[in-house]
Amino acid sequence: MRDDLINVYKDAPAIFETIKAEIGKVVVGQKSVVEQILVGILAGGHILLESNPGLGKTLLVKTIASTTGLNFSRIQCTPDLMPADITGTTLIEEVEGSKHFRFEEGPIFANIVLADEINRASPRTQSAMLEAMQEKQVTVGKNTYRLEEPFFVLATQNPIEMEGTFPLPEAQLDRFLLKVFIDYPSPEEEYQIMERYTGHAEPKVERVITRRELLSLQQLVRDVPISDDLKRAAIKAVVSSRSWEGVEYGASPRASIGLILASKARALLSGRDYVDRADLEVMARPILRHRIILTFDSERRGITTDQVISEIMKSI
Amino acid sequence: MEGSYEFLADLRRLSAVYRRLEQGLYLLNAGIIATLIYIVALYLGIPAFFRFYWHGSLLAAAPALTSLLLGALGGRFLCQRSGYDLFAHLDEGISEKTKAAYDNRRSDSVVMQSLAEDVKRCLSKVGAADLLKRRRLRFGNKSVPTVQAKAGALVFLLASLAIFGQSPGDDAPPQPFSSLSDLRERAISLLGDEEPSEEDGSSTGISGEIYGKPSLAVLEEVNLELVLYPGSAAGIRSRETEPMDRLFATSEPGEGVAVPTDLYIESLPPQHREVIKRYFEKMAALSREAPRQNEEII
Repeated sequence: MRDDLINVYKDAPAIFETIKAEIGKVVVGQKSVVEQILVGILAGGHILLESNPGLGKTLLVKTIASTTGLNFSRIQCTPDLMPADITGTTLIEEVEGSKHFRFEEGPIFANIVLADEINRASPRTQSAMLEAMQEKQVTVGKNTYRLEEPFFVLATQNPIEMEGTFPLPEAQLDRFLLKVFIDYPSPEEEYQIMERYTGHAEPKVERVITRRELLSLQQLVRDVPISDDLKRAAIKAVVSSRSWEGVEYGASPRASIGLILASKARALLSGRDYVDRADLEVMARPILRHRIILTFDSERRGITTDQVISEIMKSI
Repeated sequence: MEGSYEFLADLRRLSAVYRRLEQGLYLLNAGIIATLIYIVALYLGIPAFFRFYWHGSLLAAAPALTSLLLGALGGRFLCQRSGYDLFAHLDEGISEKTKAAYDNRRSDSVVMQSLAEDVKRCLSKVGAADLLKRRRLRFGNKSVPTVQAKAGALVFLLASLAIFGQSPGDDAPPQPFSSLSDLRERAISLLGDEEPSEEDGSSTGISGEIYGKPSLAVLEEVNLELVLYPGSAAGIRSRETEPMDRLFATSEPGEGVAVPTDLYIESLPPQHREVIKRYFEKMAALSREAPRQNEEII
């Protein structure tokens, strides 16, 4: 096992470069978004992607799933989606004259689950994913089923078109390790997108990492050394968010864990064998932005959570 | 330092170097502060004051001892304020990784082993000079190495102290007056630098006697308060303590009227009679000489 880890560790920079190159075949630009999603996968966390329609959220997730060769399933969330449609259901099956119950696994039984437009699902259905996301298991009736490792939920949501949506409750938002914003591409990038997707052949990606390698990388992430000063700085940032001016509710201790873990993953992804202060500063926004709730007065004055996080990080 | 990684030996070596550097900086800070305090004390005349009143006792050295004590305390305060942190004085590139490696020295993970080797490679190239270079004083956008800057400041202050300390009579106690005539001679030397003749004081313009207590002198009928400063050693500063009583006969402007000399002299205040008489005698002598010189020129 240790030899496996040593080999994967040696190959890690090459693996990351290959993954990025493969994703780059399909996704134009969005380097920081790709980096953040890879950080989330390496840290073993769930990711919430938010952007306006048509910016390639679903394509990005499908591409990442293709490069890893993991089981992938997609749930298109709608208001009439039922919890059983996600977790699975128990069927009565007749085999050779005798009837017995058989559990039919839902789409949650995959390594990478894309919950598209998650805020369109009803709260009941959204909370069906809570147990799966946190405990990595599904309970149907009296039976509990373990989900196969690695397990990630990559959910997307659209910040406009709020009609007919059910904003995710704070408890569920907190289960996402990162909230990643996807911005519009630059004119040059948009030109490349147009060139790439108006021809006959659409780009295809290859699998460049195995499940075993990914699990080893996740284990290596947890071993990345971090100084005590940076650990204290991460805790200070999270604690400060609870009493910061203009903040109604700050981040939970889960944010401290997430910030350290994501910083470690970013360090490994950058080819470093230690966590730098820059890792902490870069990862603070996607880790904290969905865990901080601003006061009405702050929102009225147009203050964003990202601005608050920047101020908090400057103060530590 | 527990742990079996080789970089810990390099860290121990650098720790010893850093400790010596901190001790050196402490001495420099203490020296600068003590010298500065002593210079200010000299300016205020405090050491001379102590020497004047407690000559020969330990109290005479109190200003110097107090400066040293305050310097030591100030040096300690500055060192504590800047903090004792070896990692902060390593290059930015290796500071964070060394800190991370040190804090995780008990871990034997694959990543930690790789980091330990990397840190050892980096630390083996770091010497005392690198630590000295990293410790800098910032002045806006510019910075200078702290040790050199502080050593320079200390040398400058000590040189200033040496020059200031040698200025004439700076902190020397004033010479005791042996007699009133001694005081008179000193006052005359300050004012005219000439010894007045006993018979006629007209050469220096001083004909009065200096008398009275040492702190008060009367010079040409003017009361002068003599203030002696033990520390400044400037000697004497005099000032008029009461206005002179000037009495002159008042008259309406117009044509002069001849008045008999004796009558005129009788009308003058007795204390000014002699001076005015000499004035008229000199004027008369000059008026006698002036027509003779004019005739020779013609």
